[in-house]
Amino acid sequence: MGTPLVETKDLKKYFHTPKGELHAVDGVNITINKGETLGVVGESGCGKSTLGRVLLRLLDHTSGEVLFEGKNIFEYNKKQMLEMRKQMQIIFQDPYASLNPRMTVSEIIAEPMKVCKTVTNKVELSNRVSELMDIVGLAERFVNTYPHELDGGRRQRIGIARALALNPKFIVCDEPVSALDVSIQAQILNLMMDLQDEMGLSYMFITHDLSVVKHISNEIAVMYLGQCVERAPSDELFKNPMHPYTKALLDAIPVPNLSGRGKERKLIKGEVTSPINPKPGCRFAARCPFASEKCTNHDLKLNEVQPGHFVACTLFE
Amino acid sequence: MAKKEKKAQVVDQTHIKKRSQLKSVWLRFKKNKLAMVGLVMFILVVLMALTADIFFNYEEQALAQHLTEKNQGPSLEHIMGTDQYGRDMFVRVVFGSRISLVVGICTVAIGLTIGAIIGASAGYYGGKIDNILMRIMDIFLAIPSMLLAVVIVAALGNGLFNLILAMGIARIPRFARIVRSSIISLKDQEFIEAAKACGTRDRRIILKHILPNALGPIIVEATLAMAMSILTVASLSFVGLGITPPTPEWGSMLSTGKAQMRYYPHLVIMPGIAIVYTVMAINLIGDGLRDALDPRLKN
Repeated sequence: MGTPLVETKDLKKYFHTPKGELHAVDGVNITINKGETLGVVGESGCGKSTLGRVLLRLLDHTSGEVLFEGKNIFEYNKKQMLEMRKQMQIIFQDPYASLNPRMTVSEIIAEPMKVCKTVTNKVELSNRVSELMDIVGLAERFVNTYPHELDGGRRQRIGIARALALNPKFIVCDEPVSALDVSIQAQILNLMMDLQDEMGLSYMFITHDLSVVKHISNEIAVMYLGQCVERAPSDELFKNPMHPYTKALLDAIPVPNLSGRGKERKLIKGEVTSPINPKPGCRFAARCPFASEKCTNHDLKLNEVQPGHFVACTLFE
Repeated sequence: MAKKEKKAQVVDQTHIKKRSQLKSVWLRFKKNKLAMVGLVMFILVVLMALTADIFFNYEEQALAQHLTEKNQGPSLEHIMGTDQYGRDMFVRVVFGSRISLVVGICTVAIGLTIGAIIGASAGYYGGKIDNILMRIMDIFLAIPSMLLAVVIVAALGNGLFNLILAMGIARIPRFARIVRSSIISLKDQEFIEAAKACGTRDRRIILKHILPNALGPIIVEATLAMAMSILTVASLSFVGLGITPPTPEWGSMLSTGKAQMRYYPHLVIMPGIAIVYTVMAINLIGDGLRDALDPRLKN
């Protein structure tokens, strides 16, 4: 295990809605080590993206802490936060919406450096832009093109170059490949892994695509309705899933094998319970085949069942 | 074949060298023939307004009455004819351009600047600020702009400056509404979030990321407003609150000529042409500018 770079402590984010409090992120504890990747998986609406945005203080938190190199970033004032932002960046899901359509490729990449005044000299700035374009594999002839003239993969490369512009230590990747087609997904993933090796970056990789997360992560956190239900090293989680929800998730991966034909799948029944004013106890209880009375009595904590493998489930208490 | 190759080479060179935003906007604007026509037309009017004193004598030719020559049709001596006091129409149209241009540009400048600031803050911050600002704008909108201008001029007194101020204020709510709605549709886009993630200040986000993307409708409204302003001055002059005779101004020339339109149509036609010409030039420029500022439109 490496040294932790980013840690969350009982992080909560509630949204006020007319119907009540929406528990988007509810008491999440995760750790991201230096130079490693934490994969965050879960179905739509489970609070993955919200978690990423709260981590970067793009959204205000409700309670809890985010520690970056041991310091709580929620206590930082505006000026300190500006310094902080150079250390952590974000790559977005939609490469169409995440780039300003009125700016050229070079302007988009130069923008963070202009804002943070890390590079002020014009010549240096344009050199740095070409350097970044080279790093992410964009040909120099695209300097003056606009995002709409490029394809999805190249746009995502612009997004990555922009995130790298400030030399961050930590990047939140909010489903960076789910809008791309498979062959380009692989290119972008490989690029990101190469960059991690070269620059020692740490990623929080948000996705709902399990094959992608297995490929890139050192550790995986499984989220369900705002809570982290299981956390384990990548291989361990795929080999030995413990939480019933994780099992069901992994079971839903199609097997590209003839022997899998006709095999019955254990699918989860029912619908996701509403994240607005949830009842105490396990959020998954209503759909869980192993649910008992114990599950709805009290809130569950993550237990270390095996070294490095945490599960929040009454079956393992 | 050789020509094609050359072209490809040129494109390649320009690509590698970084091009500034202004320059690429100008390159796109230049390609639009109609817009260039509008620009030339507009520059001509401006030159006319600036150089009028060199060719004509304001007191002698634009103001002094020569009743023996009144109501003449266009001739070699007076290419636009003379008005009901025997003054040369062409000279008056030339001098009138000064007031019309100043009024048109300044009212839009006032309305757009204040309206954009109000609309941008309302749209960007939302919530209470939005509610308060927009309800104030609603109050302004409820008063007919003409009436509002009349009230302001009546309160502050007659004069070109007060007139411009009055009409500028009357334009604010429309600009505020347009800017606000564009900003609301843009502010939740991911590229705004990306800008926030690297610590961009609100002001820079609005000016650099949001407004450039909202320019289309704003420019259309601005060009329309400019044309409307020139005509509103005419109406205000007509009720005696705008430019007072004998100062030459297109709107007031139009309204004084109206009485004798049946017998001497050139009294109305000449200033009318001047207004149409200027408004058209401005509209063509506005359209061209809107297209040139949007890199997504290709022709």
